[in-house]
Amino acid sequence: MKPKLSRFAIPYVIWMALFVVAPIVLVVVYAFSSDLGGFTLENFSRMGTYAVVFGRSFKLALIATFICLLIGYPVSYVMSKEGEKFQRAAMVLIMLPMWINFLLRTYSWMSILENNGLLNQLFQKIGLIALYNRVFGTELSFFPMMNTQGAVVLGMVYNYLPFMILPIYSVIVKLDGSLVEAARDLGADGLNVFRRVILPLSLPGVLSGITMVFVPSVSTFAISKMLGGGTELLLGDLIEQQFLGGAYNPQLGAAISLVMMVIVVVCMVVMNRFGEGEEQAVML
Amino acid sequence: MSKELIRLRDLCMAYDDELVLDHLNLYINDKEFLTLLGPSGCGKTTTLRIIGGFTTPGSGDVLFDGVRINDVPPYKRQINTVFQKYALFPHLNVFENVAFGLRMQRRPDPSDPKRKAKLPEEEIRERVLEMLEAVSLKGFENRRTDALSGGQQQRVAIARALVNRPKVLLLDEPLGALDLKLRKDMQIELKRIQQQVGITFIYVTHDQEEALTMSDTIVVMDQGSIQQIGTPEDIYNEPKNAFVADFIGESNIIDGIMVRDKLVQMYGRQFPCLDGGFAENEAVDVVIRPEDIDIVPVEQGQLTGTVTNVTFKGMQYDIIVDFRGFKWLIQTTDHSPVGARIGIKIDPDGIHVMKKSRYSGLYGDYSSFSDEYDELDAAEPEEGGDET
Amino acid sequence: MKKSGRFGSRSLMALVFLFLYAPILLLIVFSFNKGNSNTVWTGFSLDWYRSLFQNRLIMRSVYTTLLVSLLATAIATVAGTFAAIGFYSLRRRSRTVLSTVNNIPMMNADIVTGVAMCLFFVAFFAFWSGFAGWFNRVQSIAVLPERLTLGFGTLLIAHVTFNIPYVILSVGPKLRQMDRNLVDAAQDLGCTWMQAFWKVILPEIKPGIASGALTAFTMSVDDFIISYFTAGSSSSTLSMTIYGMTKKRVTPEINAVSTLLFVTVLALLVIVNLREARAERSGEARRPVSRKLTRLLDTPRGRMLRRGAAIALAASFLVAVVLLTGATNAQPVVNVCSWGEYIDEDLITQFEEETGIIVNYQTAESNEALYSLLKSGAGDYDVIVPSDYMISQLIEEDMLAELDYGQIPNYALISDRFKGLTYDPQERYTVPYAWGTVGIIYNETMVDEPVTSWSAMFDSQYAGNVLMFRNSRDAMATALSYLGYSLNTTSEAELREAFQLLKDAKNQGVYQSFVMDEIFQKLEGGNAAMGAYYAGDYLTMLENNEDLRFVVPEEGSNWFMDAMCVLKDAPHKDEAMAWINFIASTEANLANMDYIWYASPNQEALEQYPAYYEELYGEPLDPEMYDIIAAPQEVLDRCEAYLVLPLETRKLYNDLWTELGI
Repeated sequence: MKPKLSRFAIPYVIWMALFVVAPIVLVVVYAFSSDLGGFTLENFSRMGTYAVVFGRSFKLALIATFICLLIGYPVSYVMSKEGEKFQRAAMVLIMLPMWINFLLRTYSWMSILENNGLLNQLFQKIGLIALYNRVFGTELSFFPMMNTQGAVVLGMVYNYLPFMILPIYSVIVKLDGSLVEAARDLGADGLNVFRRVILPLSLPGVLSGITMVFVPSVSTFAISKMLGGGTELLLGDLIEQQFLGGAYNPQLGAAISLVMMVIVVVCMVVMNRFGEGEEQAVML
Repeated sequence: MSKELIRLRDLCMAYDDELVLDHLNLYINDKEFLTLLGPSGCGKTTTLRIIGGFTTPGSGDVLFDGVRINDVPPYKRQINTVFQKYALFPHLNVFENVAFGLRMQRRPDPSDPKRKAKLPEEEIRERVLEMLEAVSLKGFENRRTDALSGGQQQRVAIARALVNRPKVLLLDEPLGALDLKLRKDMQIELKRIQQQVGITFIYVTHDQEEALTMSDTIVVMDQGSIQQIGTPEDIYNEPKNAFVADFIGESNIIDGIMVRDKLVQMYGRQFPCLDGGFAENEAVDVVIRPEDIDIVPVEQGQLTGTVTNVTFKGMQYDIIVDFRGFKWLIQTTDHSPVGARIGIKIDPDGIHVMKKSRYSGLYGDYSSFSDEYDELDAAEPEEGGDET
Repeated sequence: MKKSGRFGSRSLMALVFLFLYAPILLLIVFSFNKGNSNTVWTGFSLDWYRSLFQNRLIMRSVYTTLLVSLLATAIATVAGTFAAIGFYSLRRRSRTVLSTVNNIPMMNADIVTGVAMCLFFVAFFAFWSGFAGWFNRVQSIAVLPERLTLGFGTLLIAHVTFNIPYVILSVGPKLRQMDRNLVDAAQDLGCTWMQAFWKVILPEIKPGIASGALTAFTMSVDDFIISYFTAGSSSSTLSMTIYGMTKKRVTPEINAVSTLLFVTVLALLVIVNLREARAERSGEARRPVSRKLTRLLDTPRGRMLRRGAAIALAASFLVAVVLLTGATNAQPVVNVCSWGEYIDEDLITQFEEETGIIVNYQTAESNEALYSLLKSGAGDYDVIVPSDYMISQLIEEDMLAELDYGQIPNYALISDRFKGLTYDPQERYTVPYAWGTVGIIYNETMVDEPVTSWSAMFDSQYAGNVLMFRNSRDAMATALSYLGYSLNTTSEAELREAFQLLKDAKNQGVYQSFVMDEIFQKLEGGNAAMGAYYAGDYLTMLENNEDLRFVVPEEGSNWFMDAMCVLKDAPHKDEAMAWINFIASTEANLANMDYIWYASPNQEALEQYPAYYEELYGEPLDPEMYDIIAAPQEVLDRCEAYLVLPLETRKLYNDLWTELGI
């Protein structure tokens, strides 16, 4: 007499309905209401004025994702080739920075990138700035790195790189070794083995990684404030402003959030179809 | 006269202080179906991988067509492998799997001899389809590999390897995952393909029956060294030591003394046999195949013993007979009741004498065999008592 | 692997690790710094570690964080495991649907999840107070608490909600990998279903549970955005406290606490990994402890124990949630929302010790942000400290409670010239806290001549090195002052002209950055030449950079008064009064004035401050400095205080500001 196992899921389904579905429904409701309570599409039409913000957020997020891919893929590949002890240690080391508060890690970058920060002090000491001035005829006393879009991208890459490495790594590491041997047996040298066997088979992990980096990048808000100087608004800043920031307009905020959710859903659909999913990403 | 294609010279290999290959010396001829046979851990797969280039030997040479190829990577050797679990590429369909090796190949460009060109698409297509037909998979080109049965996957693996026209095909226990009937069919199939294509097959298995069925030459290995090389008949009829005798088929192995050529003494009695070349009164191991023993009335027998166990095996009865504490296995179509005293008679050509080796005394006694039979009998419920 | 390949890949890994750990190492190293800068090393010291343990604010947020994370992880692990098992046995279609919904909190942007939950809770509370009110009127057997607010309970619920998916995602694959026959085999060998679960299923999925729990805990501890929106006024997680600080200056005590956390986790992980590696090598299967435990739990007594434990756990969880939601609280508490670096923290400790009332102290970024907080229902404070114009707006919208001045005898000490100001003419709602002026702070070494006019903030003389206010009112005020208009003008033409000034300057790259409390780091570190900000903050910065100067420009400026008010629905009114009275005392004012460098409205404190300063520091107070703290009347005459602006003007400000943000 086996109790119906599936009944175990019921409490959680109720929980999900309450705390996952209902809040989202509320966001949808707010997105379509005006501040007097009626139904309106005004919030969405107002979003047109923020097209620049959308564009900027997307641009930066895409750049950050691309850089993460550029760095993350080789790292995952290299990691999978090393011995087991190294792999385990490397995994721990990659996950460890998450234990230092995300704000603090970003804040620390401020000290490094500031005009009088550590990097610039270093550059000055080793004469790099003087060299640059001589070569380009400028009169800089420091490289301006803070408060640029580049700094924001750096912040994104820094915080989300592990989310690119882990999914790719876990897919590559599970690749059947005999497939690689078969390819070599059939005449593929190192480059061909990579191009024709490892790369296509690691694509699910890549897709997971891209999603897991793009979504938080496009919606981040603290990073842009701290490293970007607050001069250029990103989507996350915009949303926060509408709720707890300087311009109180929850309806507009909800509308923008709704758009962001749609983006996330699209990503999820792509990942479900082609990606090896979150399972890989989550495995420590 | 077949020419020597591969020579393994003094190969040694160790993993973590464990000796896997111990000064292995072997040569393999062109167009030969050679099987490396032995129990798990004997080094046969390691040898195969060394030939294929996936493992580097600790010391020793691998010569291909007279050239030392130790440092040549697998993709440059004219050798292809059929892997144990087939290793079909899951992201490619059947056609692309088989075409994989062809797509890797480069030939001198006919229009510009200095450059290397890929194989033309029509040629690839033609060869792949031809090969698929040869392995009876015509029409399967567009199937996904995970939609195929085990046997079909196996044939794709073979096609994928052979389409590249290698000089040697390595097969690493390819039939292990198939069920019995299919395995037997594939054994015949593989042999046919080998003869048809006309190249060397080097086959690894631990199944001696398989080896006997398919091979031109069998190399019996144990613990990293070769125990015996020979044709299936040689190996079967004239095993060199107790290990080989026991590994191939069933054997009763008895302590004996070679009185002189063509006469061997066991249990104090002398038996005429056909072997010679031993020293006078040299201690030897005597091998007698169970099917070479005739059961005769006690008076006519060369030896007498008591039947302890009878099991019906379909083709024959397995009868365990006790000769002074040493149990023999006799396979015969005649039935004898348990407990009967019987005599046995062995023709001279049924006796094979081997030199003593470190394997002496380890094999040949069917006591444990009979214990198992006893327990099985004991477990059966009493049905009217006697067996007839 | 070829040698060169190996070298290449090793260097790649090394570079990546360097990249990942550079800021962390920096943090750790500077936690041992004597000074409080993050870029200037002044010597080795363990002071910050010592003061960390005395900093109640930080310690309390660490406690909150750990408590929430541990609880949420525990609950999520248990719930998630059972849910995963439930999912596992569903039919494929229902499973895919539920899995997708399950993935939403994980995949969704944090900010959307946070916002959604905030809206949900606020809506629920509104509904609840109506329901509870009706319920209480209708019968009198049970009395429901009518007012629920964001607090530890909602924080916990939010954390559990986003933790469970991680657990399910870890356990799920392990379940799928498990051989279905195992359970049948166990039952075939005589196990009841429960035994099969404990003996067979659980050991198989244990790695999944462990890694899921660890992931959930990591995510929980590191979370910021979701906590920010759901924790309310009475709980702060470590992230929230740090966020409050990162805008001004992160005191190295935070470096210290992060270092400690990090080292602890590192040690734990190393130990766990070493044990695993050793176990694998020696071939141990399971740790004997769990085997004994499983055996114990199998006896009939064990079974009863287990059932009892489950019930107790569920019950205590429910009780905890209800209690912690802040409905009733045994220990007296007061929730204060002020501004960053706006109080001598010793005063908090002193107050808590003297009265036994716990102070939950949070900060907001600007008056507008505070307003949003209050409006959205996410900030249910008792005491707030808004600026003058915001106070009048709040009074207009009937959001403030009338004060019981009988409980605030120290009100008498307030100087007369600060009583009955325009924002609260009848002295019903406020007790002044601090006042000051707005001016230009500039670095002497980075300008060609001393700054005297607002023009420096608008022309390109110091382009790229100028910092502007990041709130609409103050930014516009600088432009309006420069143009000679009233700071309270409602004329759209004048406002647009001022706005255009700002916009042009921004487009010309005059402004390095729009800041509020980030200005501290920038000016102290010499990273910008000048910025408009408040006088008191100038003096704080001066402590760290002697090249800074302050001026109230000749065109005039804004002077402000921040006053303490109590929210209309504040749940702890008496405690609020006690706090206000305490702060209004002369001793508190002196201490505050000395710490935050803003002028006190307390007459005695104003008069006594120079002597106080001399006694404390052993040298006389520089009269120039005193004038900056407490601007003399001539300067004040140049300045204008804010008034509340009418709704359309406010909307215009909002729209202009959003336009500028792009």
